Order: sequence, then C-alpha cells, then structure tokens
Amino acid sequence: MKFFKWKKEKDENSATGSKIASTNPVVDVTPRAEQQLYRGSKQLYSENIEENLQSLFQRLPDPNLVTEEFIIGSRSKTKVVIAYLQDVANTGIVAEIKNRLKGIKAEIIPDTSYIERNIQDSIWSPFPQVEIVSKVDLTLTALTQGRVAIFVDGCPNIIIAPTTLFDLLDTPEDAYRRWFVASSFFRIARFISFIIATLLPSFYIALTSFNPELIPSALTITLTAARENTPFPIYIEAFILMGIAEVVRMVMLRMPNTTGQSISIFAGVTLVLTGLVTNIISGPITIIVGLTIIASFTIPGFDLRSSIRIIQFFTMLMATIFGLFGLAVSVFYILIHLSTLKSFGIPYMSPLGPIELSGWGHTILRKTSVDMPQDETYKPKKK
Amino acid sequence: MTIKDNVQDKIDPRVIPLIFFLTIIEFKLFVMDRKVFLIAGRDSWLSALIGGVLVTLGTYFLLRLMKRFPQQNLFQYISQIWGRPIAFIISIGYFLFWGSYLTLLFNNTGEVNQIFFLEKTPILMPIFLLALGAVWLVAYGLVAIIRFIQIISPIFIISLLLSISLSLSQVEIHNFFPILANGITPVLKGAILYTGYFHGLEILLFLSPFLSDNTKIFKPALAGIAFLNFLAVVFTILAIGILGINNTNQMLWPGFAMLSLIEIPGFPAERFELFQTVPLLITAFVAISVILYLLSYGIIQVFKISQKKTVVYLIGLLTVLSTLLIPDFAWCMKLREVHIYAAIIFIYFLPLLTLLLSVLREKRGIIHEK
Repeated sequence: MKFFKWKKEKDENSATGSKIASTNPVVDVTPRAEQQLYRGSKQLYSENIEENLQSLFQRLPDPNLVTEEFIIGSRSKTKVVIAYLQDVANTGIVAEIKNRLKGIKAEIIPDTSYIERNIQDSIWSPFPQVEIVSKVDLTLTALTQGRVAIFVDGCPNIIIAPTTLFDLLDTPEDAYRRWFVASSFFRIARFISFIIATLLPSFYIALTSFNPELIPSALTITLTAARENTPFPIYIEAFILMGIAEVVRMVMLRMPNTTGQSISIFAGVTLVLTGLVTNIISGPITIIVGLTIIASFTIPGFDLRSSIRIIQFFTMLMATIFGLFGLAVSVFYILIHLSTLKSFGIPYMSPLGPIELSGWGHTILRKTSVDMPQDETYKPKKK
Repeated sequence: MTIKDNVQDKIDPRVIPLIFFLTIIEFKLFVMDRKVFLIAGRDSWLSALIGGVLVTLGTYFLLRLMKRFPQQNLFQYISQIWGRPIAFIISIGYFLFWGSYLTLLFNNTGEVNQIFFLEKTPILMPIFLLALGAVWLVAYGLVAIIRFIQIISPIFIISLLLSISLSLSQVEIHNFFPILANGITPVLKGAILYTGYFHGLEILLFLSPFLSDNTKIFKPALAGIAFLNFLAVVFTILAIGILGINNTNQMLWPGFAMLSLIEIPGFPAERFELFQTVPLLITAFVAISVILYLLSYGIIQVFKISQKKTVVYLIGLLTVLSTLLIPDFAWCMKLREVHIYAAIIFIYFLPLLTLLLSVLREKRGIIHEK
C-alpha cells in the first residue's frame, strides 16, 4: 500500500485550520461488505484518515478541492479534516462549519457522532441534519453539489453537511441506474414507503377505532370477524406488536450476525404465531405491523430509520386518543417541525419547501441527464 | 462571513398562488358562499364570475400599493400616508378584524371536528391542539409558514382536484334555468358580497419585505387569484348543478353534501366524503396560522414589543379562550356572515384609500440598496 505525501499550507483565514493539498495520490482500500450494491463503486473508507483523503484525491484530482485540518479533543487531539470544492461550495456554509468545529469542547472524539451532535442545528430534532456516508463515490457527488465532507481520524464514516431530507432518502442506485424513469419510479416508491412506515399503524388505529364507516363494508366484516375473540382493543394490540417488533430488531443488532438473525427470526415467528393461535392478537394487525416494518427498511439511513420508529409511536398515540383528527394534527406537527428545521442554513425540506424546481431532477425525481445535474439546493457559487 | 449573508431566506414570488389557495379557501370549500346563494339564487355562478373580476381588480390595486412600498409592510407605511393618529386607529381596526376572524376560525374548526370526528370530545381540545401547532409555526415567522404551505400543498391540490373531477358527472344542467329570473340586481349584490369571502388576501400587503424579487410579483399573484376565482365558480356551479338551489340554500354544509354524493366505482366506503375533510383541515390550519401571524406580528410592530414569542403565545391563548364567547354554531355562522362586510372594508376599501392618498401625497417607500 502506498501512502501519498502531504503538502501543508497554513490557512490565513483560520486560526486552527491548515490547508492540505495532495501530490500523486494513490491508494488501495480493501472493500468491506457493508451493504448490498448492484452497481457503482464498492470502495469504502477505512479507519485511517490519510488513506481516506488519498482515496478522495485519487477520485477527484481537482485543484479546487480544498482540505483544512483541525485538531479537536483536549485529550485525544483527534485530526478532523474538512474537504470542499472551493469554486462550488457556498462560502457562508463553509465558514459556519469551520466555526462550529472550532467551537467543539470535547475531551475525546471516538466517533463522527461526537462531531455530528456538536455541529447540528437542533439537538431536539429526531431528524439527522447531516448525512453519514462510507463510500468515496458518494463523497464526490456531495462535493460537486457544493456540500462539505468532514473526515475524522479513526472513523470509517464521513459526515456530509449540509443535508436535506430528500438527500437522506437517496440511494446510490438512484443515480447509477441506466433508465431515469425506473429511478424516478423507485424514488417515489421509497417516499410512499417512508409515509407508510410513519403513518400506517396510526391510520389503521384511527380508522378501525373511530371511523370504521370509511372502510369498505366487505373489509369491515373481515376485520370484525378476525377480531371476534381477541381480548384487547386495537390500539393495545398495535402497541404490543410494534413493541415486540422493536425488541426483535434490537436483538438482531446486538447479537453476533448469524446467531442474532436466527434468534430474532425464531423469536419473532414464534411470538406472532402463538399470539394468533391463542387469539391474543388478530391477523389484520399482524399484517399492518409487518408492512410497516418492511416499509421502514426502505429508508436508507440508520439514524433516519431509528427516528421514524419513534415518530411511529407518536402518531399512534395521537390516533389512539384523537382518531383521524389526531393523526392529521400529528402530521401537521411533523411537517411544522420539518418546515422550520434547517441544516447549516439550508431548509431541510428543500427543494419541496421552498420549491426549487432546479433541484427536483436529482432529489424528488431523477431527470434524464448525461451529466450530474447542478441544482441550487445548497446555494453553490454561480459558475 | 455568516450563513445569513450567503443563504438568504426569501420567498419566491412564484409560490404566491399556493399561498392564496391555502390561506383563502379555509372552510369555504364546505360552507361555500352561502350568503351569495341566498341573494342571487341559481344565478350565484354569475355573481361569482362578476365578483371574480372585482376581486382580481382589488388584487391589482393591492399589488400597486405593494409596489409603491416594496420593502415595507402596511403597518410600516400607513403612518407616512395617513399620519400617526389615524394610522394607529387603522391598525387597531385591523387587529380587531383579524382577532375576531381568528376566533371564528378556531370555533369553526372545533365545531367541524365535533360533527365529523370526535363527537364527545370537548370543543376546546381540538382547538387547543391546532392552536399549539399554529403558535409553534408562527413563532418561526412568515417564511416558515410559507415553507409549510409549499410542503403541504400537494396533498391539498390532489384532494381538491379529485373531488372536482369526481363531482362533475353529477351536474344537472336544468338546475341553472331560468337564468336571470330575478333580474341583474341580485346578481350584482351577490358579486359585491362574494368579494368579502376572500379573507386572507391582505397577506399581500405584508409579503413585500420577504420576497426574493419584488418586481416579479404581478403575474403570479394575478394568475393565482384568477385561478382561485375559477375554482370558486366551478364549485358554485357544482353546488347548484348537483344539489339544486333550494337544497343548497337549506343546507348548512352544501359543499360537504355535494361531496357525499360522490361514488367511486369499486370503492364501497359509505362515507367517502370524510376523506375530503383532509383539505378542509389543511386549509383551516394554514388560514389560522397566517391570520395569527398577521395579528401577532402586527401588534409586535405597532407597539414595538421585543418579546415576540411571548406575544405569539399570548395571542394564541387569548383567541382560543375567546371562542368560549360564541354561544353556539348558529351564532358562529351568523358572525361569519357579518364578517364578510368587515372584510370588504379591510381588504379592499382601506388599502385602496391608502393607495389613492399615497398617490395624491406623492408618498413612496424607501428602497434600501442590497
């Protein structure tokens, strides 16, 4: 493995930062099987910051690619490097990121999450306000959008800031798939899945508990028949089953790979089957919870997925107490939060709110373009 | 160098039609212009048509006034035009107008919720929940409200277009004849009253300082109001065409009754129209938020109060409590009808006088270099 040589220049504008430029970048990083990819680079970042920066310089040998180094952590003296394209990235956003990094007063930086929680706009928001990537190609596209990459020594994940909800719902396949119509179709399908994951159990509770007249008659009869011998009201069933699903998911995460999967599948199937056979839970709620869990796995980011699970319980609670009206109010609350949330000055729901049609081509849909479409979402410098 | 210097949070003038749709429609989708129906009868669609021209004309004058003072809102320039004492009285008038309208909106929402969703829940509970959301949104300012409108508008537009397209087949042409049976006078009276249903149009007078480009506002604003008028005419035609004028006049919710006749092949839900309460809730919430913004920030500006959030929360609480002063739903509907006349004064008459006076006294806004 070859390491590239560093040429450091003191940054005149920054008290702690220093500019780094590369010469002859060559690197070989062993790919790790972290996610299923059908197309696109499988090269992942390593835990060595210098290797990671080499990978970036190798893929993007642009003289406008600027990196600046910060030392953060009073004890760990962790090297943190930001990278951006100086002819694209918005000067105000870069300056704000540097200011927030300089403001971090931590003793140690064991992970990027320590940086993330110190630089994000709102600590109370359930929605992540930066994007975490572990692939080099994703960093490239982010930099060309005018975003900033933050590398932390010892971490294989890179922070990309700012971000929007639509970028968090993006997957590499959306950009790499040959046919733009298919990409747009799957993107819309993912948005629908996102809505299902957030609202389906609450919608079911509201309809069945408060407004059954809205359900088609034949379906109402089937639902009533299925619930004939179950002892609990629908909302209790929903909360129990959603709770069990969360426990099973936690087991999958905590246990070693093969053992964890076997135990969680066995436990999940046994519990559901026993519940159904003994009439403790009804069939329809099992379908609803199953569909919700499947839909939640279409959300690409781990942090966003975790947040949606919490939000599910909030909407369920509102629907349990206030029915369809409660569901509508909970959607209003979520949308109010999303419309007031910002990531480094960029509205979180951009390009839908505010509407910026130039950004729809590679966020909400994917337009047919041979080039990476340039949009105004991250307020890049005008070329 | 800060983010604010580089990333300006401004409103694109092209979203003005969306602002109009979600702010002005509120309960009119279900209640419709009842008073116009009572006066003009089966010729109400003609009143809507003529009234639409008047509303567009009114919008044009509001835009002219806005153009004279591109970087100020109404409360900032009326003192230059009217003089301080009169400007203060006008401001108080606007506060009473918005305050009473907000109370009526809250009361309507609570009543609607009780009728359609939660029969046994006390009326204050849903009002409080909506007020909480509105106060939260308003505390972030007008730009956040407009962003919310943009995000939620697809749900509203899809629901509305679905309702219209599914209702069209039910229209019976004979319900419109004979045309002008009672002469033109009721139609003209109805047209004037129709203009009073455009509560929320006055937001134009407060948008100026937040727009990214003040010079490009005429086209989207006029196109937006023209399309809104077109929708109003279509809904009036649908109500008369489907229900007939006698039924329309007798019903409390003609729009809702009209939607309840919708049948979707293969969709055997008994009360499909309940799904259409979604756009109603959306528009009601947006209207509440916008009016709460105008009222609270107006008070903040006129009385030079620095505790902005406190004022917003206090106004929210006071208007929620003031709904207790309305004895019942019949009173609420009656007060809404009276409020139409106040709307004509505050949305058209006063701004038009202000424009005339500013032209006569050659007053113009101060333009700051960017």
